[in-house]
Amino acid sequence: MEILGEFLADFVTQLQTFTLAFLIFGMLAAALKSELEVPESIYKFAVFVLLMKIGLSSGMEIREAGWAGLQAMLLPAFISMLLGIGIVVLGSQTLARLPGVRHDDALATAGLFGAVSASTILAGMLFLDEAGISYEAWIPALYPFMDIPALITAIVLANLHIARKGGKGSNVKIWAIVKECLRGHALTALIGGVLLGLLSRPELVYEGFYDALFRGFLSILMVVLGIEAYRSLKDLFKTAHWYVAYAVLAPIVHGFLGFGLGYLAHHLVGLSPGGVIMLAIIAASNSDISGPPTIRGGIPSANPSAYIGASTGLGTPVAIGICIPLFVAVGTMVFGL
Amino acid sequence: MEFHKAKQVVIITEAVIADSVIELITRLGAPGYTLQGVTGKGERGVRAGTGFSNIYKNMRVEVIANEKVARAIAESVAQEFFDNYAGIVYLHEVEVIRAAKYGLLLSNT
Repeated sequence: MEILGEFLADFVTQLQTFTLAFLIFGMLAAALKSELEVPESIYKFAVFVLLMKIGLSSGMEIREAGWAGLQAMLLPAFISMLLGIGIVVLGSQTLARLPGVRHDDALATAGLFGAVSASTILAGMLFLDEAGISYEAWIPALYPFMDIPALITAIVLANLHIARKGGKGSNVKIWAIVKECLRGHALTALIGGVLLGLLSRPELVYEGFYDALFRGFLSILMVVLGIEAYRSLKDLFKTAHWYVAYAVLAPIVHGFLGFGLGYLAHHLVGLSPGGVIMLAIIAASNSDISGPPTIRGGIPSANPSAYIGASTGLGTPVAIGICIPLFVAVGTMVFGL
Repeated sequence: MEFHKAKQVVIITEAVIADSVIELITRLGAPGYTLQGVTGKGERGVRAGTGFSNIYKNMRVEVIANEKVARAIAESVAQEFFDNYAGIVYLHEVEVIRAAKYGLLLSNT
């Protein structure tokens, strides 16, 4: 019961932080058929600033910590890969077996839930910052380690399934998918940021621009995510109802998997309590911007209304609104913060 | 100035497969193409081009070529993509100047 009280307190705090509030505002605006819109070039720029910000801070921290910092990252990176793959396999054993759910739709959905959302990570980092819980600055650099294996696992499993059914399941070119992911708008900014932070001295531009402005850009992205969530929700309700159940439950289950493995890393390599909470939030998050085109290309027969509806429509609001306060509450209890 | 008969292929499909479509038509001998973003409505509902990540965006690809190449492009695009992606393809009769640009002198069209 104590945890419920802690969760409710954190939930109210999360409602008051601007991230969730802006997200809900976007959803309401779309629901009321407002003409409010954020041009594509603006939110793409916002995504660039945000990923460059977390890339730079990761890179600078790894540089400061030196070899030890890189070593500390190894196990969490490996755990992230396991989580990315494991979440998709879990989806193929649960969601894909439910009545009325097509196998390739289910795998596409599980692929997006295994993949990662930068906006959720940032919202989680802000929550921890405000709660005064510290975490390793390289935590967001775990993003690609979970994201890419999840998308690849989903695409490989779906094509194996189609081939087994006698359809024209194409030979999956894994390296081509890895390249496509790395070349994507978001990951290029993130990896570029890590390298710039690692190899150059971007402290001044980081402090003067990226760190100073990212809250503003995040608020814009949250409005866009809210508008998108409402639009995708309408499509979701046209598909099997199981997707609604999956989209609500999966982020919570995935978060607990992340928390469990993060707890292991806490004991083995000293991952900080804040780091464990962040790993749970990353595992709970689902891809909303960069994952869908990769899935559309890799599993063409899957219905976008199902997987985008589940992911952008419900998964993101659940991850930000419920999972962030939930895992902060769990972390506070477990570590006695 | 002399005008020559040629075929124009128009492909309207999902922008997310732009690279694959371009690769296919180039391999089949398209001498060039014009691509633009479009919106509209079809069997799969309104494709307004709003939203993240290209998924709900459409594009229109035009190719002018000789009849043989044009028909091959139209058939291959339909076969390759339209089971899984929204799309239509059709041919137009057009007249062009500078026939060599479109591979017209090489065939009997």
